[in-house]
Amino acid sequence: MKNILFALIILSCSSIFSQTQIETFFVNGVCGMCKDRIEKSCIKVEGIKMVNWNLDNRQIKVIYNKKKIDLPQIHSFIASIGHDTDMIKASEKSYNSLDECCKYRDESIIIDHKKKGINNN
Amino acid sequence: MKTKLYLLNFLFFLSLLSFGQSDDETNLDEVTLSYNKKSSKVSFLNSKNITTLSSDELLKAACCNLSESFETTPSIDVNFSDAISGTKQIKMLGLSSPNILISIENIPSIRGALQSHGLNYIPGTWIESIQITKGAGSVVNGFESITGQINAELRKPINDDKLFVNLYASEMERFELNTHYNAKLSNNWNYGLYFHANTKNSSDDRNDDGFRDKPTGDQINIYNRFQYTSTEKGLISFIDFNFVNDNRVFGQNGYIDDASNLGLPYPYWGGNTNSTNFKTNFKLGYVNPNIPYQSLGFQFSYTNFSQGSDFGFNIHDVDQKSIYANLVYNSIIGDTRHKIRTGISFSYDKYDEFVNNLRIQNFDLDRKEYSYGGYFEYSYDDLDKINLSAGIRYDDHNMIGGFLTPRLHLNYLIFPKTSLKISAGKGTRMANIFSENQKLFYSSRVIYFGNSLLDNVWNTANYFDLKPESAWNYGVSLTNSFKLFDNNAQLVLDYYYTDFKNQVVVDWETPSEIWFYNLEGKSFAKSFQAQLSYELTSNINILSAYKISEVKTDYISGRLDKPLTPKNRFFFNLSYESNRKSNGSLWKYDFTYNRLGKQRFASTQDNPIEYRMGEFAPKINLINTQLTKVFSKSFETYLGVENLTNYKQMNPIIANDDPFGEYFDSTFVYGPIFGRMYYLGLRYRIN
Repeated sequence: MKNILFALIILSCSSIFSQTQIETFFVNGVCGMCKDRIEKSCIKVEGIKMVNWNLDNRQIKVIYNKKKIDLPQIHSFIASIGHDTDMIKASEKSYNSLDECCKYRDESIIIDHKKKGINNN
Repeated sequence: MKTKLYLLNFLFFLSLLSFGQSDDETNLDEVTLSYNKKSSKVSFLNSKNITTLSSDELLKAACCNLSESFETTPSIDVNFSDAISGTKQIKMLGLSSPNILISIENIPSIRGALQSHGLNYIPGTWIESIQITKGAGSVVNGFESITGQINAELRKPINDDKLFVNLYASEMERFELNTHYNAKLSNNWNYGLYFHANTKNSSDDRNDDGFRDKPTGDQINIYNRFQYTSTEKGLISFIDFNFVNDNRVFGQNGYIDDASNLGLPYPYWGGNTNSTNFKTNFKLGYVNPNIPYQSLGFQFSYTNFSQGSDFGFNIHDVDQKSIYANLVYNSIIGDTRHKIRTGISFSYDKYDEFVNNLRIQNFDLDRKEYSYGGYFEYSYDDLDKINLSAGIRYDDHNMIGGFLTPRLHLNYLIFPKTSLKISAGKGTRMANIFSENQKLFYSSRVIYFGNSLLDNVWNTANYFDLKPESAWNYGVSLTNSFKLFDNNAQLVLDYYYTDFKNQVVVDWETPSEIWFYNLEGKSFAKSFQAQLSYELTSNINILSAYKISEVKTDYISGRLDKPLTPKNRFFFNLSYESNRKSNGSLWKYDFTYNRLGKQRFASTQDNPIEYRMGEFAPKINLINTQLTKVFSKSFETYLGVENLTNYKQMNPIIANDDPFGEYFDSTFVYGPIFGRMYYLGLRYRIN
């Protein structure tokens, strides 16, 4: 039992450095619900290990296994759920599927969120 | 009212040095933490049943030290242990504090010989927050927790006030001074010096039983902490030194007043407890700055506690040297929905313990206890409905042997505002019977050790025949948040069952004797609690709770309720806080009502009739209340009353007229013995 535990520790330490890639890029969005959607959808994608989207500067940080997924695939996945990235613009259809409060291309909604000063989070 | 806190998210890493209680939201950027200013909170999404008390909650009562920090928390019961020492004892789920793993910043701390007075060595103002976990809890901090875990986080030099001063005085002539001084030494180093002193001079004997209602004495307590933080390198470290000296004198009025009698108990019954505790901690945590889900933490602690006590003709001296080390590694499997936490730990305790029982027998209990083990905890969060944590540890202990400690917690969101938690887990521990039952020395009870019943003959045994204690704990808890007349309300229903597989039974059922023996048969604690919190207005919060507990053990004389454990308790707290004026001033008011149901007395039927206590203690009602005036961000004063209705237990000491006789016993305490008590204090701070 003890040996198994020690082996596990060593194993988990060594697997860290292998195929891990870290990228930060721009993803458009406007509120806490956007953050929820982006993060919860991405983390379920095979190969993505950690994702954090910052509402203030709209930068996403993604840690992923480059053997399982590449960067363009991540961009196109994010666009497919309705969010523009600095590489791929989301289709009208997927953008329209967003909730009303998440319509980040709409100036009035952006202003509305700023006024309330809340993140819906 | 919302407070916004901007923290370098890095500080989250403090939770690495902790067990899996916080939802580690580790990311490198600055995050915004916005929380409702609710000072006592039951966790909703966490897999474990955790109540967090913020420092604001601790300001609702005098809270001079950790043992007094739970007066406004229904999950924890606070009792007096005896009529003489003034020591408060806490209980969770009907079981006393040795069954709770009490840690300071996640280092198991109030254990072993510190069980008797250790909670008094953590002054209230030093505490930043308290986390109370009902049920088994995480495996990261060891195998000892049976009913739950209490962790106190202390002030951190990096974000505590530059200077803080608190003065307190009570009607019992207890005076306290608390000061915090924090300084930035360099970009990476911060320093904190926390100082506490108290003196108790009370000459009160309000029930005229010839004994002081509380001991006199003093305490000096110094805490030095160095904190290192480097965001770039991903490192955080604490180096702490703590020294406590505590002296108490107690007993008959004549013993304390007549200085020439000090050290010579006869003809007066009395005694002294002199304790010193030296403790040093080292903690180091590393978070990979690029890959924040990977972190490594190391904790090391050395404690040297020594206590010398005499109580009439009883003597109890104990010296404990302890070393504790724990190495924790956090990572993920696949993605951040699957987290793992694994590590190894080591614990060493050396006891030199001596007991002289009524000048008729001695016990020399010098012993070493050490264990090392490894643990693995997996937690899963589907980011929607399910949150679970499954842990297992294996330890090898010199007295217990090798054993496994499995623990499981699951939280399921039935509806968006309703969560169901279930938990199951095992705990194992070595009892320290004299420190845990030190109140026996405030009586003329003769100590006996029993062995299993063979052919109806009760064999006498010795201390080292007592087996390690082990128990399973199962719990289920339902939390429902809802709106009542447009205001927030939360209902928490929980039920916990603790089932001892082995226990050192402490048998008070024969007057003038105390028996310690291994459990034969069943011993269990069932506890149900319904708790409702409600924001009546934006200024008024209400918390009420009703508890039913059944704690039974198979004694030699049969299955009985554990003595002095209320079968039910009703709790009500109302707290009011006025809107803050532009100059920063506001009023706070707190009202707490407790109704304790009847409690069974250990049998006294073999005593002469004038020394019998009856079967049950009466139901009692207690009210505490406190008013705080905040003048500005830097200055506030408070005035409080404990036991407003002036309830007094009139006959707390059996045979107080014959303290060296065989019937003398001060352990039958079910309520306050000194009646109403006023106190006041002030707090001053510079940020």
